Amino acid sequence: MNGHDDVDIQVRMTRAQAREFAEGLTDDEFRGRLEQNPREVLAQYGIELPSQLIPENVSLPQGSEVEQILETIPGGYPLRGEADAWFFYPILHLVFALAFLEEEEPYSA
Amino acid sequence: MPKVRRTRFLFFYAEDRGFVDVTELLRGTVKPISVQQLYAISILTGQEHPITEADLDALLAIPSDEWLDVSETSQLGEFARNGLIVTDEDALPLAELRQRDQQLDGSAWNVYGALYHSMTRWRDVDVELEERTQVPDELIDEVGRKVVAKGGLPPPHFHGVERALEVRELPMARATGGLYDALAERRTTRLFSTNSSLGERELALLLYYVFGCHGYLELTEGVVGLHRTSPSGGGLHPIEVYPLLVSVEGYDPGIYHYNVERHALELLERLDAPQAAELADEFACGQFYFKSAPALFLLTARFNRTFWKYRHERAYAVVLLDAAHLSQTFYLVCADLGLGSFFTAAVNVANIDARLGIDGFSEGALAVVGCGVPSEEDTFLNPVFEPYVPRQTRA
Repeated sequence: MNGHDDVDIQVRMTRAQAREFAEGLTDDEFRGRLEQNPREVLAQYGIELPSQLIPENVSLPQGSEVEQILETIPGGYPLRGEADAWFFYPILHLVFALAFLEEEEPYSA
Repeated sequence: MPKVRRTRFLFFYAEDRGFVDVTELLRGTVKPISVQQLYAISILTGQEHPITEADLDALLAIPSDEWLDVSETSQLGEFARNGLIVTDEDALPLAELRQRDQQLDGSAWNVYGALYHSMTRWRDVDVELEERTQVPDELIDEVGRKVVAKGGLPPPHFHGVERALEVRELPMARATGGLYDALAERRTTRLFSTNSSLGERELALLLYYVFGCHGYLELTEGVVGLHRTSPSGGGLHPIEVYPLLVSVEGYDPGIYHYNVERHALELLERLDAPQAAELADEFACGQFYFKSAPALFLLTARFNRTFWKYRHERAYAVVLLDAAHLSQTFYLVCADLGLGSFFTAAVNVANIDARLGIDGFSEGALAVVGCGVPSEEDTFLNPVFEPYVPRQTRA
């Protein structure tokens, strides 16, 4: 999560939470909440940071800068939209009767 | 002080994920990093739960083969609620999770089959389709182009083996009548005529010739194999069928069970036709067109019947294939009767299980088939395929 290997950062973050967090970084309302209450907002996304790693005055990078970096972040499970590609194409779903070929969030049993 | 035990039905998975360095982020810099997220996957709940390395250590410190006295902590409470450990407590859902653990422990479920089954038990999934039967060709083309632009083309529709030693063309043998006509007529129908019901004779023929018993073989005392018109692993035939009748002449709409021994329908729940159609829609994840079918058939498996003989990693696949064999026979009998038919595995099996009152593991839903008179509407839901003749047609 960071370059601070000597401190204990706990991360329990689902894929949906990771995507939602990334999307939120370009949303003014979310950014405002994160700047005002970093500990609480991070905890909502399964990230627990020790106090010494939370600056007194949080200042997030510009949304446009975040947007640019997010587009380049690699990973087996993309942070932006792609994972739900089929979900957004109901017409193709209808034509080929292809239901949910892409991985979704876990379903309750 | 509760007693706890780690469930044996637990897997761990590590996923490397691109993310941003949060500590840098809070200081005004965005820096991409790779994060490894651990997951604990509980077969008891069918869910994966993100955990930390400390959680993993704590879980592995709890034995799975004996009960451990522990003091209650929020971490253990979360483990218990997520089905990662079981406790001796009687509160729900802890007692239910313990019962499922004991049930699986005492069954012949292979752990890998159980994992797949558990993680694919959809509940309340809805594809949220707009209910339309007409879509302009241009829109279909446009969507197709977008998908190809994003994901590339699929593998080619035909496949030849490049390393073949020799290619020998076969004579174009032809046959007609009976089975061959049914094979030629077999196709998936998604939209059905809402003006037509299914007749009792058609229903009886379908049930008998697809799911009925046509012979038996007593292997030893108490061990009887059945003969259906479709094959089954070990002749055990674990698949049960629950007709969901929406509009069948002489029958109340509702959920029935087909009693194979007596060739009889057992009414489980009486509904009105709109209720039955809505249930069909719910079970089929909102694939709205299927609720136009006058009769649907919920396929379940009594898993322990197959697992009585087969306990290996392929046993679960044997059960799935049994359902698939029956589906094909269903299609062929429907084709012979002049009916349209469909099969879908995109179903909310957990919803079906709950409605049928089955637990999902000793007996659980797998898929749904349905049939009726095809709609006369010219719709992309009932596509017409171009004929193809090998070596004559270019496709």
